Formats: sequence, structure tokens, C-alpha cells
Amino acid sequence: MSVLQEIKVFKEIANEDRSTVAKVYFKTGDRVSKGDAVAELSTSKAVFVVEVEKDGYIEYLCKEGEDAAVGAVIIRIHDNMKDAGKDKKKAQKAGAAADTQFSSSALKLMEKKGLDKSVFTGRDFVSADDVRNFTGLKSGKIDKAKELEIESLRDVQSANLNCTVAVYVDTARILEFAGGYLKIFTDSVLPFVIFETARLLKKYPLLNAFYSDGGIVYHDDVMIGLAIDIDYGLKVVNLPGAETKSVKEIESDIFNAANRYIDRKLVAGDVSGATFTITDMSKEGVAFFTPLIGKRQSAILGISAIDDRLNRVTLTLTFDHRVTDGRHTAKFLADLKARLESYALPLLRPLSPAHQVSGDKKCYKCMATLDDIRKNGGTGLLKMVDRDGNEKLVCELCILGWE
Amino acid sequence: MKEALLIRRVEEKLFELFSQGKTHGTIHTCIGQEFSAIAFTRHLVKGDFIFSNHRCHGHYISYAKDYHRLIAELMGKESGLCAGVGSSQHLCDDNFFSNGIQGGMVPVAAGVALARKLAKSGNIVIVFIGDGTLGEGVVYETMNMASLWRLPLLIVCENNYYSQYTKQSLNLAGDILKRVEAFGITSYKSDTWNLDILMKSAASSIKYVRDNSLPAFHLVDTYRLYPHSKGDDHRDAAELKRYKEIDPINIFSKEHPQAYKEYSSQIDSQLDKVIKELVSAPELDMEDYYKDDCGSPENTVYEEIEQSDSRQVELINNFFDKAMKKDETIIFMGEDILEPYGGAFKVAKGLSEKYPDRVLPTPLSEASITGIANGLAIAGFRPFLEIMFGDFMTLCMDQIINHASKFYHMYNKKVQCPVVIRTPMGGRRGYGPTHSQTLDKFLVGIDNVTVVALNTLIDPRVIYKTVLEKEKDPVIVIENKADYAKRIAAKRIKNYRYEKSAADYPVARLRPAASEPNATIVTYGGMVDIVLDAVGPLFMELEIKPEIIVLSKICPIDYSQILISVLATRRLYVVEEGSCFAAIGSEIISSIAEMTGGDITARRISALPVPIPAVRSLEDMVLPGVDSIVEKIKESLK
Repeated sequence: MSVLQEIKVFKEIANEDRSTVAKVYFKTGDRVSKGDAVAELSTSKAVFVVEVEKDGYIEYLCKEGEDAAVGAVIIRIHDNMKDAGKDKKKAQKAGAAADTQFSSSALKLMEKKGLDKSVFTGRDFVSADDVRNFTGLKSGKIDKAKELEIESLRDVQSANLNCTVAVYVDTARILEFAGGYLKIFTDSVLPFVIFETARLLKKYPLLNAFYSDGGIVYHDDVMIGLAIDIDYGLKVVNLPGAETKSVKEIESDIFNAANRYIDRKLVAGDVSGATFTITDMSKEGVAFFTPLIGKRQSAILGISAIDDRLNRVTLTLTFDHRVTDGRHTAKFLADLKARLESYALPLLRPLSPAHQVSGDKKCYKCMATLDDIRKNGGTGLLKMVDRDGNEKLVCELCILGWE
Repeated sequence: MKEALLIRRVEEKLFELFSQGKTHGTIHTCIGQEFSAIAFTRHLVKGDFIFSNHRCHGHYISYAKDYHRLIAELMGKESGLCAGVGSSQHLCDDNFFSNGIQGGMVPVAAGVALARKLAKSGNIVIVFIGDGTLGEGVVYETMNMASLWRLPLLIVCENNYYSQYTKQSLNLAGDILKRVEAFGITSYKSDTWNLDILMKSAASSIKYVRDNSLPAFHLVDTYRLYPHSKGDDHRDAAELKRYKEIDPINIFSKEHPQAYKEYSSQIDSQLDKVIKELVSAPELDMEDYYKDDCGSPENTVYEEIEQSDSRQVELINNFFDKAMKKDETIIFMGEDILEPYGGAFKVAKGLSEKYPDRVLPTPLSEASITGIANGLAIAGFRPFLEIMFGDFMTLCMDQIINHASKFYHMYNKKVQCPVVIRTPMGGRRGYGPTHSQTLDKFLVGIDNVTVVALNTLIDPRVIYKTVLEKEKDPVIVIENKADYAKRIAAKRIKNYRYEKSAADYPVARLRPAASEPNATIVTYGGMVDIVLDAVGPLFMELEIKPEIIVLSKICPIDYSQILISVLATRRLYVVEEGSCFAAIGSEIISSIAEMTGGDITARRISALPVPIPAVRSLEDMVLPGVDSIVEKIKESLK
């Protein structure tokens, strides 16, 4: 007559005090075995599968579709069936209170009006008259993930001191470059934006910080978060090490992140801790938009659609005016613009084969090899001496890319 | 002799008064049979009981040694034995009881004899019957049990060869004493002309009963010199003349005219005096007899209904187990209740082993066992009688209506009869027409009888507790076969609040969790679960959100909760498993109509007026179900 295991709602995500029990796979009193997946917990960012560690009889102290507080016991594994079912009384009492009842004429009317059952959540009985008298706006239920999203965005925005600046970036040259250089996102500026931004943030630390209780907190490191929203809601997925990786590596990271999103394999660490978010709406045909700043951040960069005729893309930066200001952010954007526009294919003669050098010579900044440079029609690598007196090789793009 | 003369003179006087119209009703004189009464009553001791019949004056006078209050009774005066309520046939004084139903008092007398035996008092009970009474079945049922259980009961049969005006030869087959012998009962025979033998014989039969605690039957041949009650005597004049001549008192008057005259005039002058006084005496006030008692208002504090882990039958059994442990006057009786069977529905499980001397298994004699229960009740015990199937209650009706119901008022509130009869009603088991009925409507509306019905929302122990602790008058508890196996409040309908009042007989009230109800459904007993099943379809199809009122007590009914609900919803539906005509629904709707002025929609939902068939498909259509509830309500909304 003992409880073999208790499962509580774990707190993996900072600032979230509850999760939703998205699914339960068994019912109270069922026999379960070690390793069985028994429930799914969802937060605003991800879904966690709960597995049991013992054989026994499961008791759910939670209900599918309802929230559970962090730290609350939601599942118990008993060593006998009777104990598992013991509190069915209470569950039944509670259960009898849920579950709105609809009359058949109400259901017909709702279908005609296009009303969803969820607008009547909390009602006990809904008749046709209730449907006729329903004066609320058509709305869908706000699911848990959206709720948490609202919560995490609201605090930052609520100070109402946000502002957006924008800049046009010529894209002809960078897209030409992308076409040859990139493998997957051959018509996208995104990997380059990430590459440049990650490095620029070192120069603009205020954009890698956040407002907190009257003060500014600077993040120790840069962690670029990429907003991805395909089918499972908006999630900001981390791209770690963007400030040291090559564009190609960043491209690959983007691809992997998107896949993990689609396969629902994201874990808590993937979706928390970003210091600066980039959101790419270029595929949506959006001309201009003002993205919202994420939690513990002071700015967010949005990429709107690429105008084919004018060969340009609009970058918008929303920033928290408590931390930085328009001038500062304008400078950032100008910087970024310059870097992006410097990606060009110089009209140079291709190297003669005799001058091929070994592939292990690379630009110390962007890791481009001589092969890469030659392929792209670049001139070559320059030898330079850095501040510390070390000899390094650098490519022309990177020379152009920084002061 | 003097005693006998006294009786005769009183009887003659009463007959005179009757002819003068000074007595109301009828009169049955025992002129000619006086010595029979005298012979037996002289051997009674304190604590013995006498039960008599319509021809009881002689028995009474010789028992009480007084006639004053008898005359007052017949003259309808308040100072009478029963304040004029009972009159000639229904007398009660101390341990003397008479009633006007032939044979009806015989099992009651046996019940009292059993009570005295259980109390180990050494008392006996005498019951006087006539030869005509030997036509009644209960007499034989009782003889069977008296012999079986060795009851100290003496049945004195005053055989005057006539039942009213019908000669015995037309009514009685075979031999009287051979009947008695068949039950293993000792018999005695005497007559009222050989007085010495009669006196000795009576002494010995009484001694036999008292000493051995065994029943006996004493046949006393006699002759009634006056007519049965009033009017002309249609018997053969020559026969009458013959018996008048051999009548001992008449002989005495001839042989000792002086003494006779002396005694007579003494008695007469006293009688006249008494009667003169009584003429102007007052009659009983209506107020003292019956007050329209609205009763105290029921407790209407509501609390939530909780589910139980135990089944209903287990809870009932548990009640009796605990109650019998605490209260030694509780007798649990019924057919087939001994362990290991424990009764047809196992309510008595284990009881006969725990309380062997208070669990009484009975033969199949519903009428008499009810009478015996009545007797136990008036003699200070708390009998709980189980009638195996509600359908058999028909056999108990005389004892319920003409005995248990009447005792209190008939005997001017001198006795109460706290008998409890429990029985399961209900169909849906395919038991067929005589084992599936809901005969509740025949059991309600009986004076002084409270009728309660168990249901699946109220713990039966609460109801039985009230019955045991608060009721002093007869109670019928209607149980339900199909409900025995259910747990309390196991069926939960979505979004409904389940509450019960804290009254002695709780009313269960179910209403939607948030919405206002738009109809009132009143039900009770075995129909509760079906009504609960109907809630879903009722809303789904008709958008009816009923408030469900479940009564525990169905007679008398507390209408307050129903009224409050109907005033709000203005729709009243009463659902019962019995048939429609003159049933519980009729009663409730007419009462509510009286209270509300009738401006409501009302329907009765009940069984079709046809015997319940055993075949499942038809049974489901005859008895009310979810479909019929929805149909009836749908039709009412048009």
C-alpha cells in the first residue's frame, strides 16, 4: 500500500510558474510499466513527454487540458489498484462540474454561426437561446502556449517605451553572393544577418542587455534567438555560437533548428536564454513590421520581404527606449547595412590554376578557404598582422566588414 | 349468578336504549352467553390480555367488573371507554381490546401472547371468537403459528351455531375440534348450561395455557337469545323457545324468583341512575379527537450528497445490526430470513445468528404475520416486518387498514401501534405481473400510517433511524429490488449539484450547477435513476433543465420544496413506477394546483394501466422509462 513514484511539474523554464497537461495516455487505475510515456506537458515553448520509472498503477492528479502549477504532484504510481482509484470520488465530483452540455438545437445554430464550443467554456448548459443571445466576439480559445507567449511579451512591452527604426538594405549583391555561397537558403539574407548581427552586438552591448528594476542588465554572452513559427506556434530557437561560426555553419544551424522544431524535438534549453532575437518574415511577403521584444532583451531585429524590383529589403529594429535610444540603434542599423551591402562579387579575373594554394589557408575571421574565395571569384587572402603581433590571413570581405 | 344477571340486565338495558334511539349505531348483545365470559375472566391475573369481537359487552363487564363506562360509550359520551369513538364493537380498557373485523384480532392476540412470552411474564392472552369466525383464514394461520411457537394463547370459540342469521350447517364443513387437533393444539369443550363443568373446564384450560406456555382451543357451546344485532330474529320460534327455557338465568328466575327479583331491582335501579346521569353528559370535542395538524416545518438546510462505498442492502443490514444491538425491543420478522439464506434480498444477512431470539422467521402467512406484528407493537415491542415482495402487501391490507391504522383513534389514543412493515417493490427484472408491481398508491392515504420510500440518493440508515426513533405509529417502508445493489449517489449527471435537506426524511434536490432550472420533476423510490438518465436527453432534445425533487416520505407529503420549485419553473412533472390513475402523481399535482391556483403545466408520468409483462421488450414499454419521460414532457411543451 505504498506510493512508488511521484511526478511533479518541473521548473525548467524561468519565469513560467505552470504548465499545461497536454495529454494523458492512460487513465487512473491503469497498470503502467517502467519507461512508459504517461503524459505530455506543454509550456509556451515546448512539449515534454513524462515517463514513469516504476511498474505500478497510475493515479492522475491532473486533467488533460488543464494547467498544473510548478512543483505540483501530477502523477502517482501506486503498488496497488485500489489506492490508485481511491480519490475517484473527488475526481468524479470535480469531473461532473466540467463538460458543458449543448442541446441539439444549440449545436445546429452554432454550426450556422460558426461558433466554437470553447466560447461557452464554464457554462453548464447551453441552449439555442443562449447561442442567440451570445454577444461576444467570435474568438478561439487562447491556448496555453499563446498565453505564456503573451505573458512573456507583455512585461517588456508594457512599459510602452518601445520604438522601431528601420533601414533599407540593397540586396542585389548579397543575394548574388548567397546564390553561389549558400547551399539551402540560397535566396535569403537571413544567415548573413545573423552572422553580422552576432558580431556587431559586441560593439553595441546595450542591444545585448535588458531593463530590470530601474537598471540595465548586460548579458555575458551573445545568444542569437531565431523566431520560428511553422505549425506549432511561435518559438524562439537559440543559435549558439553564431558570433564565431561561419555563415555556412549558421545556415546549417538554421536548417537544423527548423527541423527540430518540425519534429518537435526541441528541449527547454533550445528555447530559453536568447539575448537578441532575429525574426525573418521575408517569405511572408511582409513589407514592414514592428516585431515585439522578447523577455530579458532590449531589441529585436525583423527582416521583411525582399523587394525584387527595387532590390532591397527592409530591416526593422524594435528597441526598449529605457535601455537605448534612436540614435544608438540607428547607428547599429547603419553598421549592419554597410556590412550586408559589402557582400559583393568583385569583378575580378579568376585565378589561374597555377596559383592554387592548399585549402587549409583560411580567413581567420570568416573561415572562408581559398577554394571558397576562388569559387566566389574573390581575389585571395591578405596577410595581416593583428594587434598582438600575430600574422593572420584575412579575406577582403572581412576587411570590408569591420573598421 | 349475580354477575351473569348483571350482564344480562345491562345488555337488556342497552338494547332498550338502542330501541329508544339513545345509542348511535348498532349493538350486539350476548344475552344467553353470559356465563362463557364469566367462566374465563375470573381466572385472569394482572398482565393477562383479553381480545374480543363485536359481541364483547359480556366479556368486558366480567373483566372490568363495571358497566358504567360501557354504557357511556354506547351512548356516545366523552366519559365512555373510548369517548364514544369506538362504541359497541371497538372497546379498549387496560388490557381489553375488541374490534369489529371477524378474526382480525386473533393474530393480534397471538402477537401480544408472543410479546408476553418474550418478556417472560407468565401471562396469557385470551381471544374470543364465534363459530362464524372459523370461516376466516387468519384464524388458521394464527393457530399454525401459535402451535409452532408455543404461544400462551387461549382461543375461546363461543359456538352459538349461527353466523348472523345463517345456520352453521351452511357455513362450516367438517368438525371444529378436528381442525384444532390438526395444528397440534389441545382442545377443550364445554357449554353454558352445565355451569359447574364449564367453570372447572375454563379453569383447567387457562391453567394449561399458563403453566405450559402452549396454546389451547376451548369450544363453548351456547345460544344467543337475542337477535344478532338489531331488528327481528328470523330464527325458528320453536328453537328459540326451547333455548329460553334451558337458559340458566331464566331457570334461576323461575326457581328463585325472590332472589332474582331482588338482584334485578338492585341492578336496575343502579343502571337507571347511571343512565339518567349520562343522558346529559357531554360528547367528545372534535378538537380533542382530531386537529388538522400541519406539522412542524421541515428542516430545509441543504448539504451536499456524498457517495457511499457500500451498497444499499449492506447499509440497511448494517442499520439493523447496530439497532438490534442497542435496542432489545426490536424484532426482525419475515419469511425465509434465517441464515444462511438471510431473506430473499439478503437484507437480514447475519442477523439470525447474532440475535437468535429476536429474528423471527415466519410461515407464509402475510395476513397473520402482520397481525402478530401489530400485537407485538401494542405490547411494547418494535417489530420490523419484512414482506418478501411488495406485491404480497395485498394480503396484509386488513391488518394495516382495519387494525394498525385504527387502534390509536379507535381506542381514544390509549394505545399506539409502532409497527414497521418493509417491502421491496419494482419491476425491470422480468419477474412478471405478480412479482414486479409498484403498489405504493394503495398504501398511501391510510390514517395514521406513514409511508416512506428508499432511494439511491439518500443513505437508508438516515431514514430508518428516523423511523425507529421518531415514529410511534405504523410505518410502511417501500424499498426497491433493483436499488438494493446500488451505491448511494453513484450515478452522477454532468453539471448538476446534488443536495439533500437535513430533514428527518431528507428531500434530495438536484439542480443545474449554474443555470436556472426550467422544469420541476418530482419522483421517489426506484424511478430516481431513470429520471437521472433522462436529464441528458431532456436537455439535448427539449432544452429542459429540470430541478429534480426526490421525496423520501410519500405519505404524508411535505410540499414546501416542490412548491418553491414549481413557483419558479411553472412546470411540474411527477414520475412514478406505478400506474397513473389515483396515484402519487395525482395527489401531488392536485395539491400543488390547489396551492398555486393551477396556472402551471403538469403531467403524470407512470406505468401503463396493464399488468406488467415478463418479456423484456414489453416490460420496458409498460413501465416508464427515459423515452416515455421525454415523450410526455415533449408533448406538454406544445
